[in-house]
Amino acid sequence: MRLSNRLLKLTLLLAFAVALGLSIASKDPASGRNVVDDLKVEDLPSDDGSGLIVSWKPLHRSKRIIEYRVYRGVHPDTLFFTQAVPVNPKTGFAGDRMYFYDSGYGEFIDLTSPGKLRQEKQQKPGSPLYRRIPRDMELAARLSENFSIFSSVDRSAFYKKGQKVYSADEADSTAYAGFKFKHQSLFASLAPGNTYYYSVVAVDERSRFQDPAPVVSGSPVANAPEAAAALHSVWLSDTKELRFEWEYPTIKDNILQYQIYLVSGIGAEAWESVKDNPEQRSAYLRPVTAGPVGGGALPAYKTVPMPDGIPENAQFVIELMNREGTAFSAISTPRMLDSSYLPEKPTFYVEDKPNDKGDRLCVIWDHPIVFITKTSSLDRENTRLKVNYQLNKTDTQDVKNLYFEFTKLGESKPFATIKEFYQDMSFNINVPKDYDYRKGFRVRITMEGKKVDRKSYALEQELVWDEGMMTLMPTKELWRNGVEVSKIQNVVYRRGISSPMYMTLKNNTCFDNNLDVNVPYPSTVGRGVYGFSFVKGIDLHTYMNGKRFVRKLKPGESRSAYALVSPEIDFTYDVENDTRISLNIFRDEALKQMDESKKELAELKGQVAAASDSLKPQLQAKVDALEKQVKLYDTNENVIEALKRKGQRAWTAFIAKIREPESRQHNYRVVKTDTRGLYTEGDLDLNEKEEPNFYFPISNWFATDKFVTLIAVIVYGALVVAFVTMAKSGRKLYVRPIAGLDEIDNAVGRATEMGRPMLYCMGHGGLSDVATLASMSIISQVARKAAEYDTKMIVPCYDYIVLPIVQEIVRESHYSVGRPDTYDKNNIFYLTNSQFAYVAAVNGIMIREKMATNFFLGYFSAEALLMTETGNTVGAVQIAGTDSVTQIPFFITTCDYTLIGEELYAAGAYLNREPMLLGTLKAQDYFKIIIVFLVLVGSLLSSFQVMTLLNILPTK
Amino acid sequence: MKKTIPLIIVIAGGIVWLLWVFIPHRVMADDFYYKFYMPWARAMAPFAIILGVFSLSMMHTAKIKRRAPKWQYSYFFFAGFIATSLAGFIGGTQKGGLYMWMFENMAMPMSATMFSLLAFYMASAAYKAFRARSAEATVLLAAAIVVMLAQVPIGVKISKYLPAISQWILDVPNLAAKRGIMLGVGLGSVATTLKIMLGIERSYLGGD
Repeated sequence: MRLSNRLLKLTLLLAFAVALGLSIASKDPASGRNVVDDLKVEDLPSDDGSGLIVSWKPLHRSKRIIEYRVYRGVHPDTLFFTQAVPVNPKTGFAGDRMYFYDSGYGEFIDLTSPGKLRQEKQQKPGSPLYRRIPRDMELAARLSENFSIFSSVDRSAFYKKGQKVYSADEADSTAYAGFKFKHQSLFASLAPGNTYYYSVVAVDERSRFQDPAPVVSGSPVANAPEAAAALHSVWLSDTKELRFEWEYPTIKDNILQYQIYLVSGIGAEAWESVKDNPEQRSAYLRPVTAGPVGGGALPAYKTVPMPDGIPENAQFVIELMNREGTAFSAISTPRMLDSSYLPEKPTFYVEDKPNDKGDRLCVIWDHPIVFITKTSSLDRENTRLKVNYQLNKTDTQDVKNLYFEFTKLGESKPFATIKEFYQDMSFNINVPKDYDYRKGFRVRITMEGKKVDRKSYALEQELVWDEGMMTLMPTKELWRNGVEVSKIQNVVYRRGISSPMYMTLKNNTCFDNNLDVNVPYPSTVGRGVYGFSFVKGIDLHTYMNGKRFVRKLKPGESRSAYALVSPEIDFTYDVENDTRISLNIFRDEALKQMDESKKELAELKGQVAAASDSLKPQLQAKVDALEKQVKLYDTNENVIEALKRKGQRAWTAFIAKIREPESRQHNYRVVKTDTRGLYTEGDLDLNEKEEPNFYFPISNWFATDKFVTLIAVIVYGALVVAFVTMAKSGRKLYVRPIAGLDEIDNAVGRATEMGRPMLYCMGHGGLSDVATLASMSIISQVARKAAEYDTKMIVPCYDYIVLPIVQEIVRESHYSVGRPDTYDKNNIFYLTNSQFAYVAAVNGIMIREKMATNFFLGYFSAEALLMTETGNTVGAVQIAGTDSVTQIPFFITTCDYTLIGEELYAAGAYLNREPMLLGTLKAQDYFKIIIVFLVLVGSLLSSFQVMTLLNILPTK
Repeated sequence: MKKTIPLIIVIAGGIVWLLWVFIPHRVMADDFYYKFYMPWARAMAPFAIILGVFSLSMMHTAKIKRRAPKWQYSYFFFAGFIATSLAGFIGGTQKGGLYMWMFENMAMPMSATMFSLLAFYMASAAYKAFRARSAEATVLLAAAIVVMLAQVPIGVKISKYLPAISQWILDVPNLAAKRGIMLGVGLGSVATTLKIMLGIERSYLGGD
């Protein structure tokens, strides 16, 4: 290879430019600067002492920061990566300060944590920053002294992999369930009173870590709750009831109880000045009612009979309480109303969602809800409007026709009635002549369907001109059977089988008529971590409750490191005795505990007999509680069944079998409320025996919405079998000529005559693409011809899984025509699975090898035109085929012959002339006739508003 | 036996996937798909990519040995392959490493360059397609002019009906043809699948 002087200079210049460019690009001028300013750590107010607020001044957007990484530690010289706060590098952060709330349980250690302690990237020597907390049990144990740790153990591992572990504390004989890191994810929450250290590092979009901010510290403190955001009260004069409804503050998880008081003798303004002073406020308060809050999950309303002696100008306040203190709301003066103002009593039912794996239910409280979402003008003169609407209904609710009656404002007779027999969520209407449509319309919506008719159910909306949108838009109001319901919410509550308390599931607007409830299958079991245990040398170390214990490892004890959790698990709920039964996941420990309970009961009974009269009641209560528990071991059917299980595996499998389905059973309730004290509870969902109905989703064995698809597959399969049988019997089957396939012989012959190779490109489909499979059946035929004529065929593969299969197909083809010597494995090779790198390589091969013939058969995307145009420029004959509709026009334009869509699939059968393959082709054609017939009949029937055929055919 | 066992595996696999479509039960949705199929698919891919890398390396080695035309380019393959592998294995593939730097500053711009060439190729293909050499090509040309003009503001200035005509062309004749092709493709896919499941089509096993 000789280079001319000029070319050599040019090459050197280019190399220099590349080297300079690379060195400039990889230079790191920004590192060592851009430290975030004013990093602060403050206590999160009104919480349970597990939260801190970290805040800092963000860097200017010109620094192109992509994330701020927060590091936390219990010592200033070792901070671990905790979380990254992403930022848009183009716009930066808009505010003056950025906030990171370190509260609740956050990631601690899981499978993605580093195996050992690793310093953070791009740090100077002595930097306190480290990557995430490593999977090191000793380090986890030490850190656990400053955090509360929670373990989420993989469900299967919890039942099968738990190890019985004893503490190094000789005084503690409890058998704990120990789990290794690989079976669980650990989460940590800050503990009140401890000091935590923080730093923040900005990272720019080129992944350069800036210098860390100076380390700052803070301690979380448990606080009293915030006051309720609002208390609403209603005085119902006819039923003599007081109804209260309240709104919780933002942080509500730690609120335990509420109490409502009557306030008298003080005005609203004066109350604000005394409400935080216990001595001053107590003079004005008289308790009315109280109850649990459950961290804000329990219902936030209460009805009480009107107490005696309450004046009509009575005022009320609500006190929210947690372990640290209380907070009083502002004064609420009741609205004087009667029960006619109450929302309609909700009637609801629960049904299983059809065609799912059994993890969804549906709570339904109304007929389908239809409402207009927007309108748009279809012409400049505004004589036609396109109206979009939404239909909210469940899978089982059937709506046959929708009717939209449009009335001019101020008139009662509709000027247009639209019947939507096919609900495509939009229709057009003509605006009446001589009417300024900007004045607006009123729309009455009715429907016909299963369980609903036009007379008993109507919805109404108003459309008014919206200056911002420059079109008619619906107002917020919605009238249901003449009653304005837009402010009514439908709140769904549920309770589990073992709890009497209903918990809030979701607040739904009046535009919803149902709620999809996800009831997932348990995938993990969550437990609080009691401690950590690991072995160092010959010693067993246990860290528990902030204490460290060490003892010599006993013979037979495991040397593995474990996080220790309680082995007790909720097993079942005994309805008759209203008692929840827990069992130990270790069978032998469970049996031991049962025996010990029985012995303890006998001892207690003895103590009761000998006890003095003053101690007797206390001891008797203990005896009763224990007796109830012990009795369950002998009477509860599930416990009796469990005790029949002999091995440990069978024991845990039975525990899972009972407890998991029970944990997925719920009783539901719907409450309609205006959120201001006017609410109506739906009746309790009870069965004939007045017991609550508990629902759980059912896993379906057949997707009923695919019934028609199944029939189609069966019909099609039958046609294939029929035609294959016909072909086997020797009957000639006609297949129309396909020019592209007839031309393959000539294309191979041309390459042979020219002494140049051929290119066979299978596109960028994988083995799961049908086009690739079809291409495989063609390549065997083309390879056979190439082998016969001794013509080189190059096959660059995009998919590495396709490669060995194609090599095998081509090899077999060479063997089948008796030319194994001409097979060269290196002609079929893997290139890359990067789309445009593949194009560049294939184009290069085409130009260098001067292809005589190119085959492009398979699945193609944007690369199709790039390759075929290059093939054109080298003067190759090109035969292409794809099922990708967007690429077919490019192939038709640039190739000599193109197989369109299904012709690609037919090619194998066409070339092979194998009767069985031809049979499938004929079946395909006849099935197409059936489809065309159905299309025609369907079009005809829908024209006459008969939607039966359309409705039974699947839409996706 | 060499072909019978793979054939049985394919047929059994095909039937399971067919059942997967019609059975939403947890056994199929979770146990089969997530717990059985996905781990197998993930486990298979690394072996196949090793095969692919060996294939490419052998092809380039043979090219260099034979001094095939432009054999010097094969060194670029090895240089790129080794450099990228070392960058990935030593420095890791996370952001901030050399591997990602090479990807973002070399591979991505080169891919974008190839993609941008598409615009020029499209212009050339359009020129070929729109030459009014036959009645069909003339119809194509006329339809293309209408659709293209309707996309730009001047189209509405020429005629207010142009956008509506353009939309009609796209929604009716164009969509009808497209759906015809898609219908054929759909049926062809089912036919190919059935052929494979019934063991009629065996070319993927190597030969027929």
